[in-house]
Parts: sequence; C-alpha cells; structure tokens
Amino acid sequence: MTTANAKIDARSDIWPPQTPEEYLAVANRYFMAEDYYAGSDLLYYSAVCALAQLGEIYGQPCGTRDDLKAFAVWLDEKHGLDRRNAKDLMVAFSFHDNAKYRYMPPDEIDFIQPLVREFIATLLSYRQKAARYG
Amino acid sequence: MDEQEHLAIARRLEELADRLYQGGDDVLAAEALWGAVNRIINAIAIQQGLAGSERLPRRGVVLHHLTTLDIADQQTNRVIRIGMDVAGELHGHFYNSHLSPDEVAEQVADAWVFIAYLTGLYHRGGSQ
Repeated sequence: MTTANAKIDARSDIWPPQTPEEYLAVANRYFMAEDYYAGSDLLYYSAVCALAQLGEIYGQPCGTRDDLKAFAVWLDEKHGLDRRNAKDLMVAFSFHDNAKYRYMPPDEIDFIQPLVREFIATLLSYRQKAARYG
Repeated sequence: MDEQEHLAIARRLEELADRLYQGGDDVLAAEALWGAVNRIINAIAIQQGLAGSERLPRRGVVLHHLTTLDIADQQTNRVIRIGMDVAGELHGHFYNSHLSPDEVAEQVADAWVFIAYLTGLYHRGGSQ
C-alpha cells in the first residue's frame, strides 16, 4: 500500500481499520485522493474482512487464500448462486495483486471497482441476515 | 490498421494461446489471451467510431462505451467488468507469475468466455 498522500490523510481518524466498513471508509478516502492502488487494496481488505467475519459466524476457515475461495463457493451453494461470490472474490484478489504489481491502470480500476463494492455490500447483507436468523 | 486486421491478429493470438496453454506454458498463454482481448477491443473501437485517425482510444474508454450501448444492462456490465479484470490479471501473471495453477486455469477459462462475448458483440455490430 502506498503511504497517505498530501491531499487527504486517510489515517487521520480510522487507523488501523478493523471492520469491513472501516476499510471501506478508508478506501473511499484514498480513491478521493486519486490513489487508486491503495484504494483498491483497501477494498480488497474490506471484502476479506467481511468474508472472515462471516466465516466466523458459520464456522468456516478463512485463514488462507484457498480457505477464502472455498468459503466463497460454500456461500454460493448456500444461496443457490452460480459461482457469483467466487468470481467476485477473484476480482477482489486481483485488486490486491494489482496494488502490488500495478499491471492495471487507474481508469480500469475505476471501471471494475463497482464489482468489488457490490461484493462487499452482498457480504455485509449476508452478515446482517446471519446475525438475525443464523 | 483496420478492424479486420485487428481481428485476424486476435484469431492468431487465440490459436497461439491455445497451443501454449495445452503445452503447459501458462505464462505466455496468459499474455496471448490478453493480446487477443485487446485486439478485439481495438476492432470494436473502430467499428463503434471511437478510434481517431491516428490512435486508438484507451481500453477503459471503449469498455465504458460498451456499457452505454443498447444491450447494456446490469448483467452485460458485469460480464464486461469481470472479463476485463480477468484479462488484466492474466496480463499481470505474464510479468509476475503470481497466480496459482488453479487460479490460472480459472482465469483462462473465463478469458475464453470473454473473448467469445466480445467477438459476438463485434459481429452483431454492438447490438443484440
């Protein structure tokens, strides 16, 4: 992740982020500051944090990349989806990979990022339902 | 270079990608698939009148345009976004070899789906 830039100090009041919502809030600050690589990495962390919280609720391991992929498939099966969450998780992984290797330019990150945001929203809605109904 | 020439190169890259992947060279196959996707996008850019006289627009401009066509709906936009992410990840794999064999297999399969989608879109002239 790049350091906070001069336009917006993303670390001012939410650091270190500890929940999916906090990661998302910090990601938004980086995007507003046009730091697309740090912003996209924080979107990834928001998604992974949301997935790990769900994993805890359902007793599913989420400690490794393979664990997360298996859990996304488990969620797809639970919700009768055709690998939707599994594919969205791969997009989130690519945001993490791209933050490190930078093969995707900012305008393409911007174009693709709605997928990761929708994925995070989906996971948060699952968490809400799980907390309410189990 | 006109759109047919871009498509011809795309076809050659697809054949190359298939040969390389079947031969176990996932790194070079990944880049060939990335190249094929880009060539088809170039052809679509020319077909859609997005290309200037001297240079092609950025991929992001073409992809954004595709999401504004008549066929564009939530599902179409999702296919285009996922496809571009998959192609980009394979391009990154060419430089960094960062994907596991299982992930390469998954991304390669999805790249073929995206290539088929883009090719179909081109042949329909960007309409249904």
